[in-house]
Amino acid sequence: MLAKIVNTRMSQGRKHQLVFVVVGLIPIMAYFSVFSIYPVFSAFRISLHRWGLLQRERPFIGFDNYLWAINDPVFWASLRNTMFYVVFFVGLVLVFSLLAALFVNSLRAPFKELMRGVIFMPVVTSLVAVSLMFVWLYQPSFGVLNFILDWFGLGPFDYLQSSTQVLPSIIAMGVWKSVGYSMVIFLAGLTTIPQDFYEAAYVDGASPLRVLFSITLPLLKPTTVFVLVTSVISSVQVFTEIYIMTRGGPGTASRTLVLHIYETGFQFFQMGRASAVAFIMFAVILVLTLVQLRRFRIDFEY
Amino acid sequence: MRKMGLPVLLMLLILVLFNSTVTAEDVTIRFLSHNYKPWNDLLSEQARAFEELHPNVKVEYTHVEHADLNTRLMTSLVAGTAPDVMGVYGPWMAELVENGWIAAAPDFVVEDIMNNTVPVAGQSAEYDGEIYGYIQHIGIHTPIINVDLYEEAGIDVPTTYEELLAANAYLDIYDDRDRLIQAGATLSTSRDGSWNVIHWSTILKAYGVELVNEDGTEAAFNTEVGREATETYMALTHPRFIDDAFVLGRSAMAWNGPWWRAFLDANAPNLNYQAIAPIAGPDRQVTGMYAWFWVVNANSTPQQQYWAWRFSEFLSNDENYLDMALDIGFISFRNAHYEDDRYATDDWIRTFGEALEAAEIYYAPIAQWESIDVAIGQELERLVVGEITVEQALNNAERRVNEIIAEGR
Repeated sequence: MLAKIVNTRMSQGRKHQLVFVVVGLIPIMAYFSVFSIYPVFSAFRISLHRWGLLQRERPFIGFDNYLWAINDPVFWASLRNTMFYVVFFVGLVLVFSLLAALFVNSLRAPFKELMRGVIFMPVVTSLVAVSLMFVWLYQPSFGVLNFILDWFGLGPFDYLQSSTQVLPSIIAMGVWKSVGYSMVIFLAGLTTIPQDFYEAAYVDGASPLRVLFSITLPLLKPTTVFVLVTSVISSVQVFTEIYIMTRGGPGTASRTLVLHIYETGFQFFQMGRASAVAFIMFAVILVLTLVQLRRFRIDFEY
Repeated sequence: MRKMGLPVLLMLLILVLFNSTVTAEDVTIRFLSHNYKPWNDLLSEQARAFEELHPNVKVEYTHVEHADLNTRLMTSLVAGTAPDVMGVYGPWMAELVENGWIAAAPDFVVEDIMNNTVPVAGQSAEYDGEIYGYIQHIGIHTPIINVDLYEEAGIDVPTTYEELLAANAYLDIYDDRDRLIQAGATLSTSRDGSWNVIHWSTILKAYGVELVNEDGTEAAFNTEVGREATETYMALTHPRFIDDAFVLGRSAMAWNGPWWRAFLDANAPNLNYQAIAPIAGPDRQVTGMYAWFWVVNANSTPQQQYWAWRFSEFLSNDENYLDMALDIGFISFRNAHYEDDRYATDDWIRTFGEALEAAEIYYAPIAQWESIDVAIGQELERLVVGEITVEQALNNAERRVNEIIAEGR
């Protein structure tokens, strides 16, 4: 059919163009199909089976793995922790990276470049190294943080050894590590706002705060939505720092969905259950992203 | 020419037969362990020595990160690409045996183990009446005390839990802001490496409580005595103090293995420490133990299996395992070493060797142990940080253990 259309309706040049596009797309489509599409369908199929890596029998069990997940208190603890992490991590990253961007944007060269580099530096530092460093900073008896707080008569805090302080402690580290990346995006966003708007506002006698809330923030909305959506997606998948710093402990106080999936799949070899939890996590991310896109719909241009 | 034909033909025939015999005996065995550099180096040397002794055998040695070993082994066993000789952790043995992945030891190995090694070497490697391999190393923890802190306090070395709890309370020191600055004991609170479960179960056993019932069908620790033992464990843990508190001279006691000596000597050269005998509980004197084993892949060819067992025997013989004990600090399981001056006169090693007599495998021989270990470890973590009470911890752990056993892995 396609060949018929190509032969009858297209010019020779268009035909060559189409062939070029199709041939050019084949490798990436093949790669995408084998390494992305097929694994997704395969994981869904596995999630419908009692699929233990070490079991010879892998019977079809419908949605039992999903039922197991939603009846498992550890799953709910993991989901709760993940949501806590997402809300506070994303909120703090948004606020601090925006403030950092505004601050850096207000500086003159060479301080502007210097501060941008300083704030961005944690982003390029190895997450594993940073996590190990923070384990020592947070050590209750011998850590630097409690040592410094002691000068001011504060603490000691238990940080990673406390069920209530562990997630805030990890979030604080994550925010420190991630602010630089979002700041750079906000800086890029700030450069797209026409200077005419600011000049007009100042001519009209607007205060800096009024300029911020009436011009900068509204016009940064597309950038803010981008930072928000990407931060939510990445924070739902938080794993490395948790794995290194606490392994989800104490107890399940810092256990997140991805760690739950990892342990279910690769420590207990329950691939069916791990796949089911992965699909639940996919649904969570999908819903969160759709809500954000709908809530923060960008309906203006300038 | 015709006269020459027959001898030439015979010669050719002999050559072909001889050649095929040699080829049949040439064998490569793949050998896997986890990472620990000094040990890996010694194993590599021993593999080369084995190759020199048996030129027809080539040993391919690989080692992987400790945390990755289980995943690597299980996936390669399922895929049929597992090595011929594998270093495995004791709690995995039941699963390996039940799936038919590892071979029962041949007679020459069984005889060596039964006649020349300590009883626990055979007991810990036995499933359904068969022995499945040599011990690679024994993980045994005994109390290690800071001699100076005990002497300064004028306290005798504790021998019972009653004495230990009293010493612990006396040696716990708080500053004027009620912050702990010295701990009487710092038992493990971390489930990393299952250490909190090992320390807790050691105390349980000393109080006469087992983790699971005899037939391995349900949890057995949630009893009145189990709660008492767990309170004792709680009193001896100080979650704010890390293991290094002992290294820094801020804890009077830690529980650790014989390999710790190298670490202490390197990191705390002025620390005056000493290993002491396991503490006696109301029921018995006991210390929790685990073991790693050299096992042989049941799906390897008969020729590979034969040489894999020969290689395991070589690594575990009196001469080579003595190197392992003296260089790496492993507790020997060979009877001969306890009469060898190089081994027997070392106080540290001797204490651990004697502790071996009070050692009991801490895990239950059931296929789901890995999951059970994590579940118990998590509840203990929640307990020591004050998130839940002893009663809640034992109830939760009991429920989770029973669910895991009922479901199977």
